[in-house]
Amino acid sequence: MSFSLKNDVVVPGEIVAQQEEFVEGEGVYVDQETGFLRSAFLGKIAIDLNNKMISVNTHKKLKLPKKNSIVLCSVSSVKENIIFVDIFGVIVLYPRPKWEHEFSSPLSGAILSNQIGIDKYNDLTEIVKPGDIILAKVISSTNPFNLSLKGPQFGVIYSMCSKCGEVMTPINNDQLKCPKCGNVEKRKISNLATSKLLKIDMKKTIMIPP
Amino acid sequence: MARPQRFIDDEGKRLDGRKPDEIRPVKMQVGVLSNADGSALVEYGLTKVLAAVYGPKESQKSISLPDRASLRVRYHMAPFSTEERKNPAPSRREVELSKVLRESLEPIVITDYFPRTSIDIFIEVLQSDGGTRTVGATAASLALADAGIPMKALVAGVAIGKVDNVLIVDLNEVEDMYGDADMPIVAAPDLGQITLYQLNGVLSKEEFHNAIDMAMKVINKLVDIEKETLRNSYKEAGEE
Repeated sequence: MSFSLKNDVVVPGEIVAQQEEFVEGEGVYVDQETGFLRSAFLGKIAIDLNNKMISVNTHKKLKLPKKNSIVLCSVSSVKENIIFVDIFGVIVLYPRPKWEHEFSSPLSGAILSNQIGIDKYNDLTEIVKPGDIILAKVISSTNPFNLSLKGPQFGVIYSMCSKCGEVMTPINNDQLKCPKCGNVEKRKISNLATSKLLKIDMKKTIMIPP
Repeated sequence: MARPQRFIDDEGKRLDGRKPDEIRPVKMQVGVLSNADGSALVEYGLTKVLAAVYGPKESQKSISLPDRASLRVRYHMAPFSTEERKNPAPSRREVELSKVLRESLEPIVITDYFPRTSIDIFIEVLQSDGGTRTVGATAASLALADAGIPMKALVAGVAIGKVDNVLIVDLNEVEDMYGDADMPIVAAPDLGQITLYQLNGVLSKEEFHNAIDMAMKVINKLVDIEKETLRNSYKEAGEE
C-alpha cells in the first residue's frame, strides 16, 4: 500500500510512508505502535529511490554542529589528556570562510589526546593553551561534542602571548612569536592562521571576512 | 463580572451567541518574533497567547539530563492581560501551570536527539478570557514546530465545561468562573494521545465520555488549522 500525499510539504506527526516501503532517513521517525513513518519536522519530502530512503528536509536548520562540520572554539582548559573547549559556532571554509551559524550561547566540546594529529609532544599545552581560538572538526554530534585536530587546517588560529598578552604571529609550522617581547611558544598551528581570509576579533569573538 | 441568570437561552445559544459545540474564532500565526528560534501567536476569541521557543542550547549542569534534552516551560500572564492589573511575579497557579504544560509537551518533543541540552519555551498570556492553558499548549506546539525542533506530532488544547447541565466547548471567562465543570484537554490526534487532562467540578460518567468525544473532535479541527498555518509559513519562507 502506498500513500498518495496531498502535498509534499509535511508537518510534524504527518504520515509520510509505511514502514515496509522505505527506510527512515533524516527528519523521519518510526511510530512503533502503528508502523507508520512520520515526519518529525515541518519540511519537504525527499525520496532516495536507490537506497529506498525517505527523509524530510527542514527549512530551519537547528543551530547545532553536525558530524564533520568545522567549528570555531576557544580553549577553556587543558588537562593531562583532554582539552576542553567552548564552541562558538559552525563555519564554512570554502570558497571563503564565513559563519554558517553562530550559537547564542557557547556549547562545550572536548578533544581527546588521540585526536590531536601530532605524535610527539611532551604536554598538551604544547598543542594549545587556554584562551586560544582554534579550528576543529566535529567527530560526534551529541553533546558534549567530541572534536578532532587532525588535518593541516585545524589548530590554533589566534593566540596571545602568555607573558605580555600581545597577539602572536606564527614563525614556522609549530611556533608562534610575540612581536612585543620576543617570547616564542609552541602550538599546533592551523595553516589558515596566516591566511588573510580569516580575521578574528577576540573581544567580539567574531570573525570578520575581509 | 456578575453571575449570569442563565448560561444558555431558549434558542440554545450561549452568552456570546455560540452554540454549545461551537468554538470561538481561532487565529494562528507563526514566526512573529525574530529573536526567538520559533514563535507563534494564537487567539481563541479574546484569549491571546504568545509562545516563543529558544534552543536547544547547552543546559545548566543542575538540570541537564544525560540521555535527552530537558524542557523548560514558563507560563506567565502579562500584568495587562486581566481586567485588574495582575502582579507580574509568578503566582502559585502559574508555577503549577508551567509544570503541567511542560508535562503536556514532553511526550511530543523528540528529546533524545539532543542529550544534555535544554529547550526553553515561553508562554506569555497577552489577553485572558478563559482557557489560557489550552491556548498556551496550542501556541507552544506551533512555536516548537516553527523552531524546527523534532516532534512526534502536533498538539492542540481545548476546554470542555458544563453549564446549566449542558456540555459546552471552549469556555470563556464567565463560563469558566461560574460553570459547574471545567475540563481542559490537550491531545495529539495523530498519535491518539491525551497529554494534558484536568477536571474542575463534577461530571457524570456519561458526560465524561461525551466530553472527551467533543474535545477530540474540536482538537482535530484545531490541529488541521495548525497544519495549514505551518504549511503557509513554509511556502512564504520558500518564496523569499
